[in-house]
Amino acid sequence: MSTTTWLLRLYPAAWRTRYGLEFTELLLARPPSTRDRLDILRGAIDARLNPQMIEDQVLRVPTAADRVLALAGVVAGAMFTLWATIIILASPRWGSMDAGDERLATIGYGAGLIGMLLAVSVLLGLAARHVEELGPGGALAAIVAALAFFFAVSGASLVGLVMLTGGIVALAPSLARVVHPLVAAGLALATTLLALAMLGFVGSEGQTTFWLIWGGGFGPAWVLLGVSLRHGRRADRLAGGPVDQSVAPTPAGA
Amino acid sequence: MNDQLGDIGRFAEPSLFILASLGEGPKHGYAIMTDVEAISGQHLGPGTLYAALARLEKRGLIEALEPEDRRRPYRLTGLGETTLRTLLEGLSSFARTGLRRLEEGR
Repeated sequence: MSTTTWLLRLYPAAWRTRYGLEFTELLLARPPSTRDRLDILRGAIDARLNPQMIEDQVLRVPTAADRVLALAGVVAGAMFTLWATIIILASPRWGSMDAGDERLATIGYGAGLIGMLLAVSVLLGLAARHVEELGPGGALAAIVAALAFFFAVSGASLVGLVMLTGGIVALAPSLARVVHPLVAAGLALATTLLALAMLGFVGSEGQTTFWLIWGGGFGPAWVLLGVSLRHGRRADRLAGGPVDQSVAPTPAGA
Repeated sequence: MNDQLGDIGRFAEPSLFILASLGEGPKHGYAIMTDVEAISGQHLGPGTLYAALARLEKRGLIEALEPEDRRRPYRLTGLGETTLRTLLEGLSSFARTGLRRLEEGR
């Protein structure tokens, strides 16, 4: 990691989103002296203690990558919900469908598999695209949660559940910088309930309760995550007041 | 000076330099830094520069223009121009008074 990158990482994510590019450009144009590095350190502490960001400056304009990520999240949530719905209908207590209907079962598990693969894509996409906001810890948590789905494909292994829950819960505080905090909290809660249900700590209805929680919380939580990723919270552009285009900016200096 | 700049604390002096630099037209960070050094003789560190820019922007004294490549120019707002004028007139009056007293004291 270059000194410039290291110095920039000292600043809060919102500050880097707003000023990071031009600040990096400045440091490239004029490599910082030792005195400058101390000044940057002081500036980073100031930025953390006295954030001066205008809230409008961190409103996002979704890019094509955001839209793809958002769509993957929504479809993943829909697939999880479809999977859960089919399983619930197949339940002797809740449904009238023939539990032995192999075609529907195949559709259900197929939907679940597609959902998992899309969820993995969303988590890895988050880690890659939003690494600045998530930070190294958040990106690592997203990757751990993504890997957990591969364990889940072969069944509800304890390792997979711990990885998934731990990863999503650890990701939630960082994710709250990318999407609405309630969406991040909802995903963490739904995942925790899912894990508790699968481990037998929630409810007395056994599998039925587990699938209800899966369908009632986990799928919609992913749909909401996708919708939030479409709208987001952070900015790639400057909001602020409208720019008077009649006054052409006069570049000065280097 | 701090009052006019909206209680900007230790960034009052760098902020005045930045406003004065932008007085002649929009500039991006590197240009402001080198210009401030030229007009004031004082080194403006990158951390101080952007801490002051963020404060000035938040207080509506400067505004950012569309980026040019990876550099973003800033310019004075109407409020920034008025504030700069008031500050400089105050400093000018202060300097004249100080010089006159120095002459009278001889």
